[in-house]
Amino acid sequence: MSMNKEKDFGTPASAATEMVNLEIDGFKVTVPAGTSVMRAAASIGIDIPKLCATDSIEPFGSCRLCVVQIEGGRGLPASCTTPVFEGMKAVTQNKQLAEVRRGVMELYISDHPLDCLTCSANGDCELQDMAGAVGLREVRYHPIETHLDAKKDTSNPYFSFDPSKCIVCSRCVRACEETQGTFALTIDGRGFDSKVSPGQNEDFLSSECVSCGACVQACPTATLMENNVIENGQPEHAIVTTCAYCGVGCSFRAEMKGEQVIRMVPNKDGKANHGHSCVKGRFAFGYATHKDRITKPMIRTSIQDAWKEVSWEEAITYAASEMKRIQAKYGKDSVGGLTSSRCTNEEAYLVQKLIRAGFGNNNVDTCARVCHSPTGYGLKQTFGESSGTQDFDSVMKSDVILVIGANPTDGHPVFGSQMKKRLRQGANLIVVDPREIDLVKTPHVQADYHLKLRPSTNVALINALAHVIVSEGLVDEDFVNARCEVASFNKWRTFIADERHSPEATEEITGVPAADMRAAARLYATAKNGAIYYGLGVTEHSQGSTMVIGIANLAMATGNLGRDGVGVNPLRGQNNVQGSCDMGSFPHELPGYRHVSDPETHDLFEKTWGAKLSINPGLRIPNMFDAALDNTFMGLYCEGEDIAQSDPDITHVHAALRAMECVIVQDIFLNETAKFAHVFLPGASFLEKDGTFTNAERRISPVRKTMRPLAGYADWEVTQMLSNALGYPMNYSHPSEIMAEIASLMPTFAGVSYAKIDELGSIQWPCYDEASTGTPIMHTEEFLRDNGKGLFMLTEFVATQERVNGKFPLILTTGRILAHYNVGAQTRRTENNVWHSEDILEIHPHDAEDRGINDGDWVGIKSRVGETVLHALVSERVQPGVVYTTFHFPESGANVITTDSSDWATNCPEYKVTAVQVTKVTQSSEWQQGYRAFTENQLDLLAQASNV
Amino acid sequence: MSMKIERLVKMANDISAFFDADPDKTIAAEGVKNHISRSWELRMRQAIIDHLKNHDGEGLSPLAKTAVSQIIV
Repeated sequence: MSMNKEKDFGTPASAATEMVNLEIDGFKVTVPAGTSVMRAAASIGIDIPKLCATDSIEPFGSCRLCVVQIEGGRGLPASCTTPVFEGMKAVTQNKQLAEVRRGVMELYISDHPLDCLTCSANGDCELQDMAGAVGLREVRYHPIETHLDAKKDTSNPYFSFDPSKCIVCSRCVRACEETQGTFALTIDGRGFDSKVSPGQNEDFLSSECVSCGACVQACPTATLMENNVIENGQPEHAIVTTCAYCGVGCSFRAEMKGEQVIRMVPNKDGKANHGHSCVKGRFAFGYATHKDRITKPMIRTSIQDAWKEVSWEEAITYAASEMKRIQAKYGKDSVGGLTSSRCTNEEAYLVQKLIRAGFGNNNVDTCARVCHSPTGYGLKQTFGESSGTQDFDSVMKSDVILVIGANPTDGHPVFGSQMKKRLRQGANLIVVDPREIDLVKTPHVQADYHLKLRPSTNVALINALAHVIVSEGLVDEDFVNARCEVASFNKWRTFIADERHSPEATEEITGVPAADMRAAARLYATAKNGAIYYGLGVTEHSQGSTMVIGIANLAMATGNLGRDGVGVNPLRGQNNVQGSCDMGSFPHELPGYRHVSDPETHDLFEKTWGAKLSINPGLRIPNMFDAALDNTFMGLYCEGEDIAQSDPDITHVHAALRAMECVIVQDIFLNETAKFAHVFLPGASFLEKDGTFTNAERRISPVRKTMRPLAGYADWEVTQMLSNALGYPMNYSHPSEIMAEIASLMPTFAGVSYAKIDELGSIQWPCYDEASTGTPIMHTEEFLRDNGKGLFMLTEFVATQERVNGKFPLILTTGRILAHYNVGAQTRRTENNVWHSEDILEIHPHDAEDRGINDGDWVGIKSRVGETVLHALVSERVQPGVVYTTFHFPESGANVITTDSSDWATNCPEYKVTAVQVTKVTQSSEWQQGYRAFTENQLDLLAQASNV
Repeated sequence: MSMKIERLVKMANDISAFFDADPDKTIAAEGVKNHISRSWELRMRQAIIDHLKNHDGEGLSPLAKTAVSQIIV
């Protein structure tokens, strides 16, 4: 192992296909037109000295260190800003150039603290390297005024800003603009007074900075430096792995000292993130070694009992015996389990295999049930495959971007930055969201249309857009005739052309002006490339699946499928939610989305697994809860999910968990669900195991072990031990063997192997054979349905039954925030709490005034099923009649209020629509008081574990 | 399975509300039947069939009743 430092070519690669021939220092080189002399030289191993240039941002030409001579040209141009031309002859080193560079360095160093030996960047400082490269031997200047006493800014919990070491190269400012798109940094002042400044002379924490780390990454000195490096020194080896947060699935270099992660640095070769990151992936990894980690297996008979630490063998034996006892008492179908979208593909595959082959039923489900199950259903029906159609890079070819019910800058920040880059290049933007998300108006980005619809009216809106396209002759008839089932289209055309779907007729339902809907529909339909991106604001509704189908209809009708720049793109929530679904985590589908009753598939799996498999669909998560309360589902194996916090109508969930006789939780923390558990099997974080994650663009990326599992075993090993104890043998020695089995069973993974992933870095499925390198864009020639044709389906708007009335006059909708991730089990155990330490309720000024509510007041939020209390934030980001909160803190009890209303096709909960009343209160809710007492009691029982 | 029948009735009606968009009610019923058959656990299917038999499918929409009558377990 070594650091294997990534080469910096100085300027970005040119995308041109035309090639140019030139000579550099007498060496012939051929590069794409538009390449800089600096990059061309670097490509043949000639590294021209540089300071203000780096290949993640456009060249700036300010430091003058990279000057070269061009034969026939005048002066000494900067090689970073000078593009190559045919026949160019460039010289990168001679006496004159050396003198200029030495002079430049001398000036820089004259205002730089010469504390290299004690500097945090020692060993990783470009200024130091360049001083060596240019042969600086003396500094003749001793200025009276310097910046050496400039005050350090340590406000950010993850990195420090030391302006005394700043050379004002603007790399940080440009990274903030070009890479992240936040424009939080600027160069303040002129001449000698020039300095890097966050916002209006604010400190980093108070500024607009989103702590993505792009500035730290770009800084050539110790000016912007990770605190971990300041405290621990430079890392000594690096391992490429994949982030365990959102569905973007960023590739990172885990830079290590022994088994200690010093920093996570975004991998330039990462095809999902291209060297960018967000605050979570870049900095919030400390949870992995947090003191709350539980590393010893524990058991107890009842949730009123103290936990007892036991050996792995005892815990596994007890868990297996309990499951067998329950099945003997209540029947084979009385137990089940949940796979995790936070675990690897291989681990999800093993858990569902254990349930189907070991338990002998199909009672397996996963967290996609509560997020993107409607995506799986809707896209499978219409396109033939339960996945998005594009790679992330496709957005750079989009001309009109339609964002529906997604908040990419918070939920999928790295992709959000890429999307903003395309928008700054001039793509048009339509946002469909009840709330004013950042994307609506952000520096140099302004949505052309913000269709601020009422929550729960998505389908009426998508139908209105489709109505305009059909009635105004905007259908791509050629695409429809060639690529889709024409009979289904004709039926749909008749349906959607009906006047009841027109913008004018639906305006009353959606609250969106008809003219805006018409204009937005025309903009999308007439785009050269129109792309749709959507999130949980689409799926988490009673008509979530209908809306996904409506989106698919719209894309097919306008021919926006099957090529770069278009498509239907679900922004998946968790890092491996696509993967866990692919791996057969739904109760009706075997791996590869094939129905459990399909004879051919069933026979294949029975033969391969050597077990009798059920042809009947199993229970979904909410069905499991209902069955538990009926005493017919009594044992649950829950790996890496926290249903006691994440699922709706939490009071009902808790009652169901209490009713079960054996709840086995496998997790890294005593999460909310573990408080109801009888067996605790310590899990391993993503840093402690090998495997793969599959992101929202179907990209299978490597997860690589950087340290030994704190509890001794990776999660796949724990599942294997449990399966063996249950009597169903599993004998894998490495996750690569599990992937080989997956590839043998799933046609879309047939060409996937660890060797190929290592060779290519990542692979986007479908990857059908050994020769295939994967599929960035799907449905290019035909859809994956049996007949190869896209299917139009009818999407009648059906109003939700979760309606406002005099008692519950407001609609509560929920969402995520940048600093936290889902249930917060990881991010709450990091410094990210600095930005967001509690969930708050956003309420419009009109609604607040009606209720006498001011900023910061305690407010009670009451729905038909429960009540909780949060602090209020009076904000115009929400519209009158709508309130909004996040759900990252268990004590907030956001899901005490949400109801069991769910999607008709998949039972995905209608998190986005809950009728509530909000009132000013003075104390926490009864539920919250009960929660606190219960939690205190459970923590006491945990504390007794090692003493029992 | 004694799962609350009201919930199963609501689920069946919600599924029917989607397929009811089809003007051909034979196709609509087929859609509902297939959806329930392919996604409901056996005990849930049996419970809704029993509800139709024993309680005339009280609470089920007309389309849901037609579809449930066609489900075979």
